[in-house]
Amino acid sequence: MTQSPTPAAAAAAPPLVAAPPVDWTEQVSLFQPRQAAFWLYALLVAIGGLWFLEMQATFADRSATAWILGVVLLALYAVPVFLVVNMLDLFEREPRSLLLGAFVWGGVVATFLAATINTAWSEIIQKLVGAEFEREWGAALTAPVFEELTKFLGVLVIFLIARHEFDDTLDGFVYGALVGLGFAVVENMYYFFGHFIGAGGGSEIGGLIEGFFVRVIVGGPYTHVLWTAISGMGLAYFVTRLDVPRDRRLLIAVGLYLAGVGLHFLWNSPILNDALLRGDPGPINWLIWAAIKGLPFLVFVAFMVRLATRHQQRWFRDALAPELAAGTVTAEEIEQLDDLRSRRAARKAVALRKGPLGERLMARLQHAQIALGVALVGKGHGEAERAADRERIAALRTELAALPDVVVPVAPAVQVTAPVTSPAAAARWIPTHLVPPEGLPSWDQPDPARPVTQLAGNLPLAVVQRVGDWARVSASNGWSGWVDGRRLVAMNASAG
Amino acid sequence: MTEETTPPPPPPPVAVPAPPPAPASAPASAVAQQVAAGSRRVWGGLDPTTRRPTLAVAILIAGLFFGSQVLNEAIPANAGGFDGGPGTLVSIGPNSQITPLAGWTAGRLEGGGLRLEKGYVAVDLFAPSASGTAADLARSYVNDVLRPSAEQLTATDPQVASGEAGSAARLQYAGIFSGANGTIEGEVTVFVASGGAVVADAWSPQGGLAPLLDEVHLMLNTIEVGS
Repeated sequence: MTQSPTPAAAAAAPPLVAAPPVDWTEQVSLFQPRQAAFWLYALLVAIGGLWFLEMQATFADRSATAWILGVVLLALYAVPVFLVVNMLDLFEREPRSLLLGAFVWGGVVATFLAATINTAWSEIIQKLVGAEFEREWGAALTAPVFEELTKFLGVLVIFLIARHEFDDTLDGFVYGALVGLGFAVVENMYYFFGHFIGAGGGSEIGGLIEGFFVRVIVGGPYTHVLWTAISGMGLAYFVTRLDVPRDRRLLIAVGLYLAGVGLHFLWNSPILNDALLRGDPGPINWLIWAAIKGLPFLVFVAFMVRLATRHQQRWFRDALAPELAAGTVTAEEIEQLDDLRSRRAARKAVALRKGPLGERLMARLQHAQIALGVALVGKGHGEAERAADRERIAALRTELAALPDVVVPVAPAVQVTAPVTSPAAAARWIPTHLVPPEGLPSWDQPDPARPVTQLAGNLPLAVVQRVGDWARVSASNGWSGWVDGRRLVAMNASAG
Repeated sequence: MTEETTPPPPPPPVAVPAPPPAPASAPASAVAQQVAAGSRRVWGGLDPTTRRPTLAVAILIAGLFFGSQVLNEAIPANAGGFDGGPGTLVSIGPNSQITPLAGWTAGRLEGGGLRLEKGYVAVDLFAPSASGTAADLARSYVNDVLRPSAEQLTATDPQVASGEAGSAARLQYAGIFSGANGTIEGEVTVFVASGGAVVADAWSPQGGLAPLLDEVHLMLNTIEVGS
């Protein structure tokens, strides 16, 4: 990966790195037949897939119950991690096929390559240095080097398939974490069956639960997901932060990669094992051991993610700033869009004032504003698309403003059968429709699961809003509610 | 007198004949050229900006994958210089022997016995003088040999199989042992035949045994037990 030093050289050999400014508007799938890396990926997945299937068939043959339970337990771990990792990318979620592709590389390709290479090097070390040394240090010397490399190559291959999807450092974190997650899931299944189940006289399920505790509960938060995420961040930093001098980018990328390898070495090494896992280690011993070995790195990664997120937020704010004058977005809304919590808080605030429909409209408004921000950061969208985004935002804002505040209806019997007309309400209220002669059910919100209030036939109503087949209506006494708008009788139609 | 005759009209234009059809079996060089041209077309159809980096990644992966195995094969297993090697009979005790597979290093254990090693995995082999059934000997090995040196140990009940040649028992164990780092997992197999017995203890740090277990079993099948 080199950066072309001159424009002439760049013309002769297009730079591999993504050119600034970053482009959040590209959405590329994993299937890229024009990319050599796609074919390399497909070939290795095919080869590793056979190995993977054979291994799983062996496990399932040994104990179908334990295998199914193992899959379920690992899914309970993998799905939330997948969602959390994906959510960290605040503004531009990565294409699902690429996320899945990264996961599959980790689980099928990297495990296959690393298992073969680790075994060979374990034997080489044993032959050269001795079996005792190999048993003591072999796992610390081989696994960090070859497992981290085969996983990192997965992030690199994903980059080569869809380099435009690498827009900022966080993207490398996301792809790296998912490669690591795939690796961890398959490796854990291997450990469940290769070590915990059947060993020591315990039951299959007991062994599986013990394995789940040691491998996932204790080790899950600190291991493969983080190690590969940090090396992925290094790669993404190198290829996206072109505002930073190349030597510095390279230094940081190599440093982050080595940090992942180093922490993997520390985790696998016998350091602290004697002090914390001697005798019959209980769950507390395991948790303390893992926290001491892994927690500092977890904090470090969280700090790195925070830095990358702030960088992303800064880009986003800068992109939307010119829209302030036009009123497409307000300063308060830009603040609200900064993270998931403030977005949710803003939606909830609207929900309190304008009900669930208001909350949904607010969510759509936020999505539209994020889309505009992404379009403004990127170069893929033209002015026409941006104008369309602005129009959509304006329409949503108008719709949201028109939505009346939530009104608590008074007692139905009084309000419907004998509406009391207040002078103030009457001054504003002009009936547009009648309830059909047979009467009409109404709801306080556009939700048929809510309690029903029956409206008397021929009751005059004013339609103040329509949402699909729903109509929000008000009566002369100020009562308002939601009815099936298709069944209302228009006043002029009734008269005619 | 000569008769003047008008010159004959020019012959009608003749269509250029189509080239003869290519022979059914083109020369090998032509096929190779076509294949090469096809490959070039495929290669040329790929995004030129990522072809070389992808090739570099492919070469790195292939180099790591095959290079590691070639290097492993190139280093002799018995670098320590033991009397037995792969494919040759190695004595376990009086009249009992085993044939190590390629890649296994053999060495003598203090106090008698043989140790075969490959990577993480060690197989300790003894020819006990005590008599009894295979299951008894397996339990005895766990209680008298393993348990005294273990800080924590759990073991399965032995599973027994018998045939015309003799009987065998197998159990699995896991434990923490003095002087060893982390949990050790192992599988004990006892063969009893012709009045003699062999105990084989295959062990490794946690998770290391499974990849080589098939190989261990294959090797144990070569054991010849004598009285």
